[in-house]
Amino acid sequence: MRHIGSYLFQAVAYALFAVVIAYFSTDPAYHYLRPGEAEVRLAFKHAAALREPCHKRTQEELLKLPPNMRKPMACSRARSPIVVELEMDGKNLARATFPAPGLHGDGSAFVYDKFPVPVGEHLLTVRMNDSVTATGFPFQVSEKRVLQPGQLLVIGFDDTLQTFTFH
Amino acid sequence: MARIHKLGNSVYVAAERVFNWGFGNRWNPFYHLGSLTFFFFWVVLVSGLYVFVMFETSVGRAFLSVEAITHDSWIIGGVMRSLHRYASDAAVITIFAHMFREFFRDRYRDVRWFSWFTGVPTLWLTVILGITGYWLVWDQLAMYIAVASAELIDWLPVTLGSMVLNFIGSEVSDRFFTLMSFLHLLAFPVGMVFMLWIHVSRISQVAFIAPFGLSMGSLIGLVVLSLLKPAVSHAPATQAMVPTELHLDWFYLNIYPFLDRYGPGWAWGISVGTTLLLILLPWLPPRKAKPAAVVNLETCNGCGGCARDCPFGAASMQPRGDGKKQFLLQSMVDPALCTACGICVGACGASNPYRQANSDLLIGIHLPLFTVDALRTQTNVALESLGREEGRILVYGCDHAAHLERVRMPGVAVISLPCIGMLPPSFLDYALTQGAQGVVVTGCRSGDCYYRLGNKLVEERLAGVRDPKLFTRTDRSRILVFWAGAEDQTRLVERIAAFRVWLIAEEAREPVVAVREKAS
Repeated sequence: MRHIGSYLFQAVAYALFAVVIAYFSTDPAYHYLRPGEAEVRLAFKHAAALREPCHKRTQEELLKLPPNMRKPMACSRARSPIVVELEMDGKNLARATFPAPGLHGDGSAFVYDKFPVPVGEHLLTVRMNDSVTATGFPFQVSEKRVLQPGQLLVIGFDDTLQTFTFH
Repeated sequence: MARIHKLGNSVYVAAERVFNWGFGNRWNPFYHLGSLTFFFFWVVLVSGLYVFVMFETSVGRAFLSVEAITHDSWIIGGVMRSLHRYASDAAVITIFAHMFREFFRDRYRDVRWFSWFTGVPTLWLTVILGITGYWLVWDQLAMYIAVASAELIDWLPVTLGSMVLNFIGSEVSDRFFTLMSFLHLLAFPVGMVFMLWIHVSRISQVAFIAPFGLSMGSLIGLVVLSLLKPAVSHAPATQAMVPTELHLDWFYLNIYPFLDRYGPGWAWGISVGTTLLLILLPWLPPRKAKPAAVVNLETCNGCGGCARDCPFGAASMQPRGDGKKQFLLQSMVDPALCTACGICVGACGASNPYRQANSDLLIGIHLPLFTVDALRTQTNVALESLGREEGRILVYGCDHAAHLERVRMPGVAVISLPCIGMLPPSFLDYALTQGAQGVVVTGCRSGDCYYRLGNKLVEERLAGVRDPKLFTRTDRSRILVFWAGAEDQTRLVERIAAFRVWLIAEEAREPVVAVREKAS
């Protein structure tokens, strides 16, 4: 016959076990963003311009190739790295270079970064250079946005329209 | 490493002492951490099946169906959902308690590396199962986990690197959600069952079922918790917002805040680094394993006792190889599985100290470092050392329980075996007939044998329900069986002292004349 104290001990042990589970299954709360913050994410994939422009093959070059491979235009596979800049209210948030992935460097570059920002009205400017032959930033968009607490603003790039999107 | 083992083990021993008082030896949860984990997995499975029946695996309906389960039929659905979560959390606690206990007890090296090694992927599967479960609710927490997990996967150079775009800036497809459901409901659970099977495949007589009282106590605790604090969802997932405050399940989702703070490189580094460390632990530092048990075909009569009792499946019966036609089988030992515990020696039918009295005692199987002949010699020396003291006691114990040197005193001799399961019962009769007035059999606490089954096998042999049995002629009243772990040192000394007092009183009432005394 067990002592009453041992049954009490068991009850307390089970209760403690449950309390540990109850607490750590939800607490302490994790604050992903501080109160009064929103988040801006740069997120898109983009196939940059070819690193070297295509050139027309000469007759001599064509003759060196097997008959079934005599395409008139010769293009290298490698693409340019992408340079992206993000500014908020005239201050630089990010400037990063994203190389084209793949064994031959011919894939679409994946641009991804995120920034917690204070809520309120902001002027956001995003720029991109996707060609080693281009100077400056051929793609640039500025938008004024009012950000609410916890709002997520995603800046993407629409390959069809060839412009940045804010949504 | 030995210092770490000692320090950690002392913490466990202290806790186990308290729990032995409160729960008793049979229900002490520390002795059933593995089987308790199995029990929690059963609760997860049953509650998960109920939730799955009510669950709708589409992005548009998942959240609503979970809300309906939680609130519309809370007395069953709500409790089942909560049980599903809390039993999963409980499993994490018992898994880690089990893992650390085996580590501190030094039960993860030599041939036992396999169970440790295969436990590591099981850990990963457990965590991934938990994470994918939280995805399915498709609330803000799920969205957060989905994005963060995608960031982790995108960081790996072997992926296409844009998984995260599935969750931001475009609608999540039902097909992706179906994939997650498939992973959580079928693929990972099947993988888990497979890994658990592998995990225990090198041990025999696996304790899959926790004691009824312990299981019911845990279940009642979880049900009460489910009623008092039902598991609830966050707000529904939306791509327009990021969560400011999240109530993470820290048992499963602890990597994500780390990921947010230090980035995916560090998160992978810590996860993979910890995994590698765990995998390599059995060989850090390397050490030479004890030589395995060896079969002596000259005396092996193929009784099968060693194969039946070996806790690690190292001994097996094979067709006879030496042409002795009167025996069909012989014992074979796989050195890769043998822990050199000696339980096979205790199980050998030929292991009888009365045999070959004037020559080396040879039996069917023996430990190279501690033969049964050496055990008989040690017994003889110990009995000799007792002289004519009153209340002469010979203590047979093991190397992994209470320290036997502390019970050594005039009138009490001590012999320590690798495992008490190595002791053939006939040695108890031998000791009593050769001069001891009482014999003490001690070892690890019941259910906590260092070599898993030693004390259980001894109990069955002494009770006459397992071969080799104790002789019927042996006076049971002069045999004290007292299991004593490291936490029971004082109790063992007290118990032996009390036994000795009783023996002396019995001696005064009815003198026992030992065979040796008669001879002299």
